Amino acid sequence: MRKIFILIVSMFILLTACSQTASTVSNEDKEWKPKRPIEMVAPARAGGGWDTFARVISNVIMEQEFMEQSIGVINKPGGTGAVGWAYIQKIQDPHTIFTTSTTMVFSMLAGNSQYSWDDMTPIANLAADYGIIAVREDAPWDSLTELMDDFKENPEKFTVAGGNTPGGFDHVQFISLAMEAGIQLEDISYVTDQSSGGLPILLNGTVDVLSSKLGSGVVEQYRAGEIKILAVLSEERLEADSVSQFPTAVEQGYDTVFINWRGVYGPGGMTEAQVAYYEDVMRQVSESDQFAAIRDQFGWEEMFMGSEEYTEFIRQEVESNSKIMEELGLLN
Amino acid sequence: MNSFNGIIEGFQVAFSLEGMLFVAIGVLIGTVIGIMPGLGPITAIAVMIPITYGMDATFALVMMAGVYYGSIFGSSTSSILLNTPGAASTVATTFDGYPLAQRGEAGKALAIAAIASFVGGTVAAIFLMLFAPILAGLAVSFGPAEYFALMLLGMTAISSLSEGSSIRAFISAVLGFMAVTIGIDSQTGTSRFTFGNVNFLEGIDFLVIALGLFALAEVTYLIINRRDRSFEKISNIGSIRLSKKDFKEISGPMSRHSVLGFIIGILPGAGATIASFMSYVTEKRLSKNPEEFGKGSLKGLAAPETSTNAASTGSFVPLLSLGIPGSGTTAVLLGALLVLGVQPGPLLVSEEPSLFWGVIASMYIGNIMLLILNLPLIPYIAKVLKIPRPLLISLVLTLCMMGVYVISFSTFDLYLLLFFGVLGYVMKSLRFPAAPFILAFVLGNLLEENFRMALTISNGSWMVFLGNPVVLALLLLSLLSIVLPNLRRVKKKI
Amino acid sequence: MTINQKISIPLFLLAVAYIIASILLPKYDYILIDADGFPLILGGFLLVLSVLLFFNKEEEDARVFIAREDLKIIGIVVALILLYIVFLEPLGFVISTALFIFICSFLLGYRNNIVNSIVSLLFPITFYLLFTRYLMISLPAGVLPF
Repeated sequence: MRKIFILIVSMFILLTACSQTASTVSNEDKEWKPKRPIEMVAPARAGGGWDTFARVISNVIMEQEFMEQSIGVINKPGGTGAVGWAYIQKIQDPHTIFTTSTTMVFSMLAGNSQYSWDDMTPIANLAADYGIIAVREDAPWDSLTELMDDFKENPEKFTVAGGNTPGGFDHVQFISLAMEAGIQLEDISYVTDQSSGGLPILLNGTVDVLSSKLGSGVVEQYRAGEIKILAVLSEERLEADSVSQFPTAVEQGYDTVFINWRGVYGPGGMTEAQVAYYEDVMRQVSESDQFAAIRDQFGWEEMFMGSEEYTEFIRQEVESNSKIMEELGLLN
Repeated sequence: MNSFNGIIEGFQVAFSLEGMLFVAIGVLIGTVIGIMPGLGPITAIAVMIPITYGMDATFALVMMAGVYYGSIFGSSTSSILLNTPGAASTVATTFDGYPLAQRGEAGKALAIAAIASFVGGTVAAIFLMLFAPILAGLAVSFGPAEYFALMLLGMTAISSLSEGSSIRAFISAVLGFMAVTIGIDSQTGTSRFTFGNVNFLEGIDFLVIALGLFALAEVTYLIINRRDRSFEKISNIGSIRLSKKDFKEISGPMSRHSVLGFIIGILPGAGATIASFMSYVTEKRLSKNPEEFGKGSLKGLAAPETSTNAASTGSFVPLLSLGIPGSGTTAVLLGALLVLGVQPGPLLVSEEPSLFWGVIASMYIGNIMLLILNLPLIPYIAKVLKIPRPLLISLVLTLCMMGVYVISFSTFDLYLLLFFGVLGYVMKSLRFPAAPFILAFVLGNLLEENFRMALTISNGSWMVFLGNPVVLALLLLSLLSIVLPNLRRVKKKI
Repeated sequence: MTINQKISIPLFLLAVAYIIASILLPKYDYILIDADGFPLILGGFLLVLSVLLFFNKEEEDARVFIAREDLKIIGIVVALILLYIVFLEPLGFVISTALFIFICSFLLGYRNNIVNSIVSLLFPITFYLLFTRYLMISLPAGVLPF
């Protein structure tokens, strides 16, 4: 029996040893082209936001033939992204890139990952949607200012709901507005509805304010006359007909912009040529009609940024959000 | 009258040649994916998204819906035959389905599962059609206090899930509840009991625990008894025909749990898994001979099977008429709808009547197809049990590990699976029932989350529970379900 | 010492450890019931239940019993599973699964080596192709080029 066992073990070891011979030493020139099929990692489960984004992008790339190599999506879920980032950093292969969004910044600020946003390489941003503040149609407030004034006077009357945990997008955007309005942090009661994003408990009157993102769910409830959208947290009014009537927080005197951006990242230590290659592919994706149609379906706005601009943009995001996280005692 | 025209239009879509073809493709793919261990509705729908790209939205949705309920239909097979549930929503099916198969009545068990699924799915589709416009209101009628009371009612079943000692059942439940506190706390964002390991941040997956505690623990038992002669009768599949008496026995649970499952399915916070557990424990409490449950009771098999399928149909209410996903699965389905250019919400029924009613009408055909597809195949599928035992053990082990691997694509979960397998075996030997562990794990998260939400919203006032008739009724029911069985026990002793 | 007393001691220790870990959780100031609320209650429950079990006389005949011969085979299967987990990603799904099925069935006493070989090859290959080609679910390719 023992002999068989030793035999088996040695067979396993031998076979593994064989698998590790082909290590690639690539010769970096100004031009870089992938030599193998590309892995697009979604650091989340099948069906989640990062996964959907990864799948639609690779679909466009494949159908429009923006790359010579094929591209396939793989899922590395866990740790709100941390497992996927660890995987990326471990293999450090320029043929492995991943999808990301604002959530990455919040997850990293909360200390979920050992990596920071600048340990890896921002390649390009492709789309964005925006934060919103909504109340029921029959609610007494018709503008963000009215809501915030009443909130400040009678904080005990109010509960806010969102789909993210404290220290996540929906929470931090409301805290940011509230701080600007001079509301005390301890006066804000916020609940997280992870399964349905807070919409059901807004509709049935359990909570008074919904802090969320401008997705189809919110827009459809608005069209059906169930809710009022008091503010969109974008710089300027949005362009699409269905959403252009929503006032921004900025025009109501609040200096708060919250963008849920979605982009593509690579591992740390990418060369300029590699970054340039992917940036170019992503630019083609962003400019394609096929991706424009997808943006419309998901209610995303066009927001293309190349690597340099994207890096600077994320730096500012991290800076402003970490102030709020620190205030909340959630910075790790 | 308006919705009547819509329904007619829907039937026209569903009964067109193309409509029937896409339903058939959908349920076929769904069943195949569902039968595979570890692959449940979420994966089934996710892999279909790229395929539907560019298709006509109505037909694509008809197909997706077929994939959804087809995969739930299919995943009961491995639960019954191998004790390896393919999806979270069919874990409760193993409780009585597997013992039934072990008794040499695998054919009957699979037939009951198929018929119960058919009834649940069809009755729910009828409800959907009759009441769709008013159901949207019901779907949002539950707030945190109501959800908490509902989960508490489910939890009170712990004592009824124990066979012997109730101390052991409670310990098992507390351990299950502790297991679900691992990970990021939804209300504060604090990571609890993760010990710095990122793999624990999103918590332990329910399937890892279910496969470990049930399937692996069972495999250990099979290994020890692999030469036992009495096992030969297990490869006996038995007849798939049900007697009049069998039908009589399952007709009660099927009618009850079509309704219960449907209602729980409508609530966006609950979903098919919770529905199946609620139905199982309810049926056990209603039963005159609860001691048969867990040993191959036909009622104990029919109840969760009916309920799961009714609930998955019911979950289309919040999805289509509110645009609110209530579970991981419907969230993926919502994503799929957006890819197709469909905007679900309160206006969908008036703006796209042929799509809305077409999907519902297609569910009748889909469920009939599933029944026709599954019943004749049962004798062939059940032949799995004729595989020589050592080979079957290896294959079951492989299937469990494959099922767990494709959840997270990391080997970490495989080590966890092994851990829970060992735990399951130890618990079984020491007479700690696994069912309360599983029940507490399923309900614990929602119970805690909603309790804290309710009190946060009420600023700490307990009136949020006591001042609301629905909550009060549910709480009283919970109290009764704890007190009544004990009274009965006391009476017996006297 | 009775079997229930033996079981209750590790449970008691687990409860104490769990309560300590709950107390050590970071505090969040802006919530009514913090992250440690439920865990403290659960830990308390387990503490009480383990004490009750200590003095309980039910199910005294329960024990983990595995015959020497069975212990050996179960140990081997567990070791095989561990090996499978370790080698799954480097070797790839097809090879490690094929080896696992063949060896595990063989060690459990299946001596029809021809059928065993066929099954242990066909099973992983079918699933691998099905998953990677048709379902677009990636399984570890490992050393194989496809």
